[in-house]
Amino acid sequence: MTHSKYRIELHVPSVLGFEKVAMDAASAVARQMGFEPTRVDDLRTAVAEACLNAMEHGNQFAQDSEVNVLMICEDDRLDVNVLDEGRGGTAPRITEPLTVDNPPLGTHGNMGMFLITQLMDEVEVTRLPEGSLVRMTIYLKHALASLAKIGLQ
Amino acid sequence: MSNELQTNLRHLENASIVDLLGDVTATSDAILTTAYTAATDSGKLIVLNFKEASYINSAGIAIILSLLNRARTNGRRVVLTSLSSHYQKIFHMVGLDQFATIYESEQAALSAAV
Repeated sequence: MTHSKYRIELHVPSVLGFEKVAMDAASAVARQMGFEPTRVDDLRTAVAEACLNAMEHGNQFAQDSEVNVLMICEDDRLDVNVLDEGRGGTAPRITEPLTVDNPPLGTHGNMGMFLITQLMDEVEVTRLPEGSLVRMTIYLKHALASLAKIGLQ
Repeated sequence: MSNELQTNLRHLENASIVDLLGDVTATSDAILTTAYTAATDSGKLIVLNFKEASYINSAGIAIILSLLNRARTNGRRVVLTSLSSHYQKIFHMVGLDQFATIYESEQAALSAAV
């Protein structure tokens, strides 16, 4: 089965819990494409965290705001684009892992972007006029991902 | 939309087990704190059992980290059990396994830690 340029788009409200809708949809798409279960789990967490960042930082949990999730299936990879409405004024941040010497501050550590970068093969954050876009890519074959990372593919 | 976290506290001879049932997210702070406080009353080892926690996000992890930090400050011993292999990986990534030992199962935790 080829997957070239199948597109699936969702709009989820900026309400905690609805990130699971995007997470489950991405999971279903990845399974359909033949991703291994461990990679599907990685994608589930990354998509949920990207949506949570968009809801909180990009959309300030505004009731009338939405998070746009666009999944693009290619033969060798799945791209997931998560776009907020830019109401927060701050682009997503990548944080360092917490350690004994770097303990969590309060109850809302910002480790979502860190997890996304660890779990996905490629991550790109772009500030657009309409909001912040997080583009995440996972490849069906890890070898392709490795080649892409060093610019040979 | 969310599967709100519930907890179940079991007092064993040498440990207090806190079963986490549902999603561990930003809304779990109060219930986790309440369960942890109740578990500390026994003065025994505290085991957080994630067997029925199917969704844990970064806000939930931050709450767990905060709780473990508090336990460390107060000299309380807390271990974690029954995480899926995915969440074991996630907890390792964020450094959470530096705050508490993670065991494969409740029995493994009780055998090794008590």
